[in-house]
Amino acid sequence: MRDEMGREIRRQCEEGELVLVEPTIPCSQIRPIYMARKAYARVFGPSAEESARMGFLEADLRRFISGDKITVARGREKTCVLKPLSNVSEVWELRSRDPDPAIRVFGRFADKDVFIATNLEYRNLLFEIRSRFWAVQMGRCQTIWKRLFPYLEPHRGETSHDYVSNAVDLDHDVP
Amino acid sequence: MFHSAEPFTARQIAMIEGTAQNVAHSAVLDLLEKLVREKNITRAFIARRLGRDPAQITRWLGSPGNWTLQTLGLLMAAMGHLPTIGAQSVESLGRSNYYNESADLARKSPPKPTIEVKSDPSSKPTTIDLPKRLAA
Repeated sequence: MRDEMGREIRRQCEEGELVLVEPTIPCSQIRPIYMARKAYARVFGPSAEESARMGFLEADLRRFISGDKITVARGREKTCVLKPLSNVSEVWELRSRDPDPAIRVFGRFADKDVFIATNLEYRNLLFEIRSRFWAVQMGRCQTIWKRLFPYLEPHRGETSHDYVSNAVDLDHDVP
Repeated sequence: MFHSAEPFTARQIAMIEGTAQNVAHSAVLDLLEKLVREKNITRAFIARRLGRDPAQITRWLGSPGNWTLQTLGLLMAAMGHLPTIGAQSVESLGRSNYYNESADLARKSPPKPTIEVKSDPSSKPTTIDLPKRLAA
């Protein structure tokens, strides 16, 4: 990881703006997720303590963190776990698809295997793909990133494997 | 949560169910990746063996929503395998030799190793930073 990115993540953690996700069911931190404060409160705060849906989301976050194999797609694939929403803005979504309502966690990569989760929303509130609601969430992701890392760009890569290890790219890896 | 006799909460049950489903899905992906490499297996091949629409196979492989144990068995069988089920104690989870050091950024920097030195027994001690080599 770039030194300055490491320093900024550490500083934002000390200030409470970023929180490392440590799942209740323990696992090794192979692909750590740092979550912005407000998003973290939605998933792990007191209001989510009794939420079964947030329990399923935590299981999906744990899967990413644990380094278990996940599916990625950069094209039209609809059912993968991780997907870039735009190759230009580097906004990705981590999908918690089941049960309904699905949840999308938006974020960017600070480095390969280091995901900064900035915001999240229930899928049914985003309506059809490319609606303005998606644009709002993507914009929010970029704004939160800018606030956290004003002078740092997100990690960029050519293929899915440049972003995450142990991934199956459904567009390329499985004929 | 696993060490008490209290009933699981709804959230904890969801977490356990979701984790079990994800473990099964990752196991299928591990097998699939291996067989794509070794035997050029395709989604169309799996679909043909199971008499399913290839789009259904794509959905199954994408994420484990609506999966049952039968789905796990079918997908593995189509690839010439059957699942085996094991159990792992919760205490042993998270103990891996491999670990991403980027996760340490959330932890507070450890205090500098120091030693207190008194020039004579009645004097106030002086704190001296220890070099890393000696601290280790």
